[in-house]
Amino acid sequence: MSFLSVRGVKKAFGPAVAVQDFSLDAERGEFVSLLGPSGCGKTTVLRMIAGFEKPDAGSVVIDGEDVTHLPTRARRIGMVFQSYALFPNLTVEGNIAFGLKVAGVAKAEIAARVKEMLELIGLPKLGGRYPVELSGGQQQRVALARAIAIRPRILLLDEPLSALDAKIRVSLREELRAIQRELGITAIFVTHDQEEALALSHRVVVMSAGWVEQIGTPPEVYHTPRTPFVATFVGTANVLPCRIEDVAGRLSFHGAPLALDHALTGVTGGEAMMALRPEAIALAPFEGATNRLDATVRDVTFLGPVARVRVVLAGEIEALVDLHGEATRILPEPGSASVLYFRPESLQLLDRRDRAG
Amino acid sequence: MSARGLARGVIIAFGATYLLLPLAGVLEFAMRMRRGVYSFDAFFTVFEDHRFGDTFLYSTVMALVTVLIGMLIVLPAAYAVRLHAPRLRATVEFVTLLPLVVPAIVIVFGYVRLYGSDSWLPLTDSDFGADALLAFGYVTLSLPYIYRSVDAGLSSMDVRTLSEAAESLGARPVTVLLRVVLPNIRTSILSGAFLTAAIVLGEFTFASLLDRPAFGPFMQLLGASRAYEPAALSLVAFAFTWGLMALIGAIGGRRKGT
Ligand SMILES: Nc1ncnc2c1ncn2[C@@H]1O[C@H](COP(=O)(O)OP(=O)(O)OP(=O)(O)O)[C@@H](O)[C@H]1O
Ligand SMILES: [Mg+2]
Repeated sequence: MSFLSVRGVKKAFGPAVAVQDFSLDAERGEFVSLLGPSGCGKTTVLRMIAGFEKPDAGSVVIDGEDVTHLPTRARRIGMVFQSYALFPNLTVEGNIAFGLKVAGVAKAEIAARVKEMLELIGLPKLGGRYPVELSGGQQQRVALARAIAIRPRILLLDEPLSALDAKIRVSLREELRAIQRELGITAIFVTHDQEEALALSHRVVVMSAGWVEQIGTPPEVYHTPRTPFVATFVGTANVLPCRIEDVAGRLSFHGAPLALDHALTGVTGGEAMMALRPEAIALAPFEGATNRLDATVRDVTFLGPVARVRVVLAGEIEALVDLHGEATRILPEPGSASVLYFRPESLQLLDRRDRAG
Repeated sequence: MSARGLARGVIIAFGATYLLLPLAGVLEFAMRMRRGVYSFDAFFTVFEDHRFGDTFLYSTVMALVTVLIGMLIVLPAAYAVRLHAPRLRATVEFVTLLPLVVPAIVIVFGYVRLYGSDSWLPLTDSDFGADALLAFGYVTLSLPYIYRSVDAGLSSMDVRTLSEAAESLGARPVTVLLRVVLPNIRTSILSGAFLTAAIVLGEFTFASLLDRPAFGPFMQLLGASRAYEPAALSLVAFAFTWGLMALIGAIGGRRKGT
């Protein structure tokens, strides 16, 4: 059984359902991100794992112990908040020591642990400062130290980097990952920033409107999105209508034949949706690019390493093509006819269900 | 620039005159006890009266007890409302403001009727009972001030997130209240406490009708029977209140906790 097991959890606030049905299994030491737009229920899920909200249904099991009905203080979790939430009346040391004092740990041991934590977060000299005397990045590091000082079973982080400016956000993100790996602690990380989720996580849970859209490793979620929502929310994708022609994986787009790289099981015939990343398309033939579509170039934006080309397919459907490197030397003319080339594995058939609507 | 400075000076001078002139008048009057010369005789007479010390001590103890009971009731209540029933806040605030609307004389009459000699709980029959009744009455009277200052203190911090942070670190609700909430609203609690103390020290109606040896009735008695001493006494009381206010300011001015 996995280290953290969340099973069929639901939560409604009055008539508004915040979390429809959430299940997740995380291994010991795993870093899992909950990714989704504002209001999709990420925080609510995290708060149910923490015990701040009681789920209407389902269960939360940590290390084999059912904690669904335990209060937060008995769950042995560590929590890091977006707003840092350091105790303003305590020094950095006082903040880090708080959980240890509450647990009745011996003075000498507290001092040693606080010192160890300060070194871990790279602030060995700031123990005597008050939170107001620290920068946002420093405060969040102290908050992290405070959370892990009690050696929690799970570290829960709710958009811990969102209040920081871009540069600090990236450096602290790397530090956070290093610390998490070093301690081997299981972490659940909430974010609405896809780059953050992809960069940090072993696995990403993509959520939308209270539902889980997909759970997978960052490459899985990026390259094989299961729903139109995931395809467009994680990175950029062209989501196009298609027809399924047979179980061998042959499709058609407005009469033009296309092929998937795998056979289909179950589904045969009918309308469907497919996703195609802009960077998987070239305007010139290349090895393995057996799929082709005729297009008309609408406009071109040159951005240096990338040139973004907007094309029109079948006379009415807009799509994006990203040209990279040498391909950006000679750019297509707006209004000219062109052909899109891409490999079968670049084409991803999507579930018709799109709960985000 | 200079016109602005002048206007500012005039306004300050006007305000200062408005506040200080009556005080100066009272002081001047209080110092005329000995015919022909200015003296502090009236002040000495007041301080020499043993009732001054006795009633002042009684009222000070009352003030402390009132603050203690008031805080014990209000702090957990305000905290719980904020955390678990934010929709009740308006109602609770209204209830705490009621003592400002209902006159003290009505409240104390109610007390005497409810807890008088022939009632089911004759508190007024014993000194301790009457003292307790007075203290509870004062708690009611000071409710608006205690609640408002505590609530203002709670507004100045992110109570919910800090409480949750403490809880996630293993703290029980009582620990959260004592170790996280209380230290961060210390200034507000002190200002509520001092306001309460100032009110209790001068209160007349409750103490008089319950026949308690408090400072308020003493001031009233002196005022009814003497000429110069009440003026001196009011100045002393005024100085004391101002001292309390200055203390609030001084403690509030210190930013950091200990
Ligand atoms: N205490 C609450 N009372 C009522 N509704 C709530 C409460 N908490 C959350 N909600 C609602 O539940 C839904 C999900 O909220 P949640 O905070 O989990 O979203 P989120 O994914 O964390 O969004 P964000 O990225 O903006 O933080 C929202 O529609 C929100 O309005
Ligand atoms: Mg959130």
